[in-house]
Amino acid sequence: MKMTTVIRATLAVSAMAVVATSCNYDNSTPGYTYMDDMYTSPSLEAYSAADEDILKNGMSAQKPVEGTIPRGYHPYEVPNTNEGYAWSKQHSDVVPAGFAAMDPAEGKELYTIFCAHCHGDKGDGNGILVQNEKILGVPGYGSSRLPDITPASAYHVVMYGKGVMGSHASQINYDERWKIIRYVWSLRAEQDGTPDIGESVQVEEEEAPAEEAEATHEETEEHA
Amino acid sequence: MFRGHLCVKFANRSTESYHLRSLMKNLYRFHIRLIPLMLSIFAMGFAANAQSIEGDAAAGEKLFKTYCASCHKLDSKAIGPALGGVTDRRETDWLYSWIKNNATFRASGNSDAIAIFEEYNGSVMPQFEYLSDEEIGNILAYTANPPAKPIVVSDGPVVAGGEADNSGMQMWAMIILGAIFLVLVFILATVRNTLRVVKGEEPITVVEDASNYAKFLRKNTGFMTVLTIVVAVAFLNVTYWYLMDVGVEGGKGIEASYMPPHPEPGQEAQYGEQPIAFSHKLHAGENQIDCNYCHSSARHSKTSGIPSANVCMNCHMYVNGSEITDEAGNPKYGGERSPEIQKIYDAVGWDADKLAYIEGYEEKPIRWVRIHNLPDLAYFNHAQHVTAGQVECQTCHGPVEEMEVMYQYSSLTMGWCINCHRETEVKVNTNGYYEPQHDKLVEKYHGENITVEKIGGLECGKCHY
Ligand code: HEC
Ligand code: HEC
Ligand code: HEC
Ligand code: HEC
Ligand code: HEC
Ligand code: HEC
Ligand code: HEC
Repeated sequence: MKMTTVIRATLAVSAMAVVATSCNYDNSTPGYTYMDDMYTSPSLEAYSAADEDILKNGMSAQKPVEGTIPRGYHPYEVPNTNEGYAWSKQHSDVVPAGFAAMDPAEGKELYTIFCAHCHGDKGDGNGILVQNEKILGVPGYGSSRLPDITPASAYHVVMYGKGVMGSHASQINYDERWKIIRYVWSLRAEQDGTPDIGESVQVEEEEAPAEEAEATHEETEEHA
Repeated sequence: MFRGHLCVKFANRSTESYHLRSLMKNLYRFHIRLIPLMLSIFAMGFAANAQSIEGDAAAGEKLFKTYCASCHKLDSKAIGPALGGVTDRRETDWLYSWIKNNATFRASGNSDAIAIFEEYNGSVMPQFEYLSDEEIGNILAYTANPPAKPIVVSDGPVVAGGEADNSGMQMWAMIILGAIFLVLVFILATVRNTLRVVKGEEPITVVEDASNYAKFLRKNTGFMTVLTIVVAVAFLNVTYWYLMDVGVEGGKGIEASYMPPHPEPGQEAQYGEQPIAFSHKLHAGENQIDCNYCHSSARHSKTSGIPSANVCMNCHMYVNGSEITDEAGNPKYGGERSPEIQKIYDAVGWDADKLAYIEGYEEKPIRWVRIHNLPDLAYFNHAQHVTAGQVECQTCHGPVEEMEVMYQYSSLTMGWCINCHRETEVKVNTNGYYEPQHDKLVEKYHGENITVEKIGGLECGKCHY
């Protein structure tokens, strides 16, 4: 009788001890895992730290070798200088064909994500950061403030930045940049109170026989 | 208590001195306002044609902020020189010519104009020919005499680290209560023994007490059984919850409990000490920056991505944190650059005094601590949910725009994924890309809701392969 009590007591105490110590209070590790291989990847995952000796700075996110060209890439070779900026105002080679015929609404969502907090939803240079007085001197797109910008110069500014505006090249890809700039141009027309550049294009299309118009439409889509 | 009291007194005193100061300032400003007036009287009297800095500083402030502030600050150098007190440095005529068209002004051979242009390495200031003389006058009046910002003085005591004090207090209270309890027990035992002695009985020691209880327990087997059952159930319960934890993967910072802990309202999340004190509340909440601006790969790829430092620099080139205020409205860093933002500059090699990137600087990575982490055995794709599924970030990540410190909102367990796939409908109407497939689905499930389950969202292979 007495012996079993001792055994029972010991068992109870050790069970309590196991329970008390097995709770994982260390915030930095998950609980036990069985078959660990399926939890942690032997290959590097995005952004995980890597061996410093093998990868520079111990980062798995490395820049591609200089000169690498991803699929579908559009190189932009105008240099990031005052001269390059001036050049971009005089030449429109980089502007994709059918720019005016693009639907401005496509760029609206992207514009709201990437530009509106500075330039404002209406493109009046009065975004939330300007209202909060965090960033100042953001121009509206109307031609009173920006008399001589062109789609190509806007592309240059999105690629390299200008003054307080930084480069947005890493956040948005080629198609998205042009969608945004197309939307900027519709905002510019709105600010100036002039018709959107797309309207003249549409009139031309309507004048053409219906079949032909459809064909050109498909073609532009293929090009985009 | 004592400290709080002192602080209240102190705060009151500083409010008084604030009134005194603002009175002096008003008097001073009144004098300053007189100066242009007197100047113009002078100008009229002597018929000199020098323009005075007449103008409406308040209107000038607005113009300055719209046209000049991206390059000029009043008290420190930005892309262009500091403009506070520029009217003392330069003739008014010079200023008008420079501001209207600095290129022709330089071409006209003004040596000061050429000198300042060269000092700034040929940075080009735009021309402002569209500003009227009056508007330029207003701007200059603003640079000469900016309206003073109100200084906010809090009424309550401001005790740094008040919260930490609080939790320490709580622990001490517990310890003191415990001590009082022990003393009470001791006193009771002594009183009982004294009573026994008075009655003429033997005093009882603690050991004897304990063996009495043991004897009682051994006699009452019914009571013992109940007690054992209670202990066993408690044990099984803890074990169950413990086993539910097994393998619920999280990054550093995730407590291994079944549901990740949410901070109590008003309390900050406990974990996730990041290398830079980055606040989603400040960025995505107060300044309403879109999630996709920083996590720009969420729309296209599996991972959402943590923004690289050049994205931070799009704003922090200009925003250096010197204007951040604490709760009481006073400058948080005494008007200096924020040390947290300096860490971004150190990472990318930005010289905030020269406002340029340091040549040949070796960039240092910012080692953010990962918070969300699924085990490798499960596949989760952001684009699939954000772009194709059109699910809001907040559905899964919770009220991020209110998080001072990021925490994991959802459990990220398989049950969580499956539940949502059972309940959520596929957006069949607003997703052009998948139109043919969606049309077929609508035909097949005539009239029924098309949930993710119906497109195979519960098949093991979709998430495990
Ligand atoms: C951080 C705030 C900020 C963001 C975000 C921003 N801009 Fe700007 N933008 C500015 C400022 C400031 C200027 C004025 C630059 C100068 O002239 O010094 C400017 C100027 C411009 C100009 C006129 C450049 C010129 O030739 O004078 C264009 C066009 C423009 N931005 C387009 C965009 C587009 C498109 C986006 C979104 C992809 C964008 N901006 C995002 C702040 C911003
Ligand atoms: C795009 C940036 C930019 C903007 C916008 C800008 N400036 Fe400048 N400003 C400069 C730079 C750079 C210099 C230094 C000279 C140079 O390199 O041309 C300068 C110089 C000056 C000077 C000469 C300062 C001195 O110490 O001699 C004055 C005055 C001035 N700016 C006034 C203004 C006013 C007023 C506005 C707004 C209407 C304005 N600037 C807008 C960039 C700018
Ligand atoms: C100004 C840039 C910025 C914006 C805007 C932003 N984030 Fe973040 N986000 C970050 C940075 C930097 C981190 C890493 C530091 C941290 O975890 O706090 C992060 C971390 C996160 C994480 C945790 C990642 C992990 O380690 O598991 C989530 C989830 C997240 N953000 C969601 C959002 C959502 C949702 C929004 C929109 C409401 C948003 N973010 C807006 C910059 C931003
Ligand atoms: C779109 C603009 C924008 C971007 C992008 C941005 N920030 Fe900020 N950040 C701000 C603003 C605005 C403030 C508030 C400054 C103020 O109130 O004066 C701020 C404040 C901060 C602070 C607070 C400083 C302090 O001491 O309280 C930190 C830290 C910070 N940002 C880090 C970052 C990091 C890291 C990134 C990149 C992941 C980033 N920011 C990207 C606009 C931005
Ligand atoms: C359907 C739920 C869901 C939605 C919607 C969602 N996330 Fe996530 N998010 C997750 C899960 C699950 C993980 C963990 C992924 C992993 O560890 O592989 C995660 C991880 C992250 C991370 C950490 C880095 C990474 O990619 O692993 C960030 C940052 C993030 N999310 C931001 C966002 C943003 C910004 C949005 C909105 C554009 C968003 N998430 C929408 C579920 C979601
Ligand atoms: C907030 C709801 C929600 C949560 C939580 C959620 N999903 Fe989904 N998931 C969706 C929706 C909606 C779709 C359908 C997208 C579409 O329209 O193609 C989807 C689709 C998927 C698909 C593609 C299915 C197919 O047949 O194409 C996979 C794989 C997937 N989810 C994995 C996960 C995993 C893994 C988790 C948990 C970590 C998760 N999801 C959590 C809503 C959710
Ligand atoms: C919608 C996505 C999804 C589907 C479908 C799914 N799982 Fe899972 N499963 C997960 C996620 C996410 C986890 C990891 C959760 C965690 O961290 O505990 C998981 C974990 C598991 C685990 C636990 C592994 C461990 O060791 O922790 C098993 C076993 C499992 N799944 C089996 C299945 C089977 C069998 C099916 C098919 C009937 C299935 N799953 C379908 C998302 C899914």
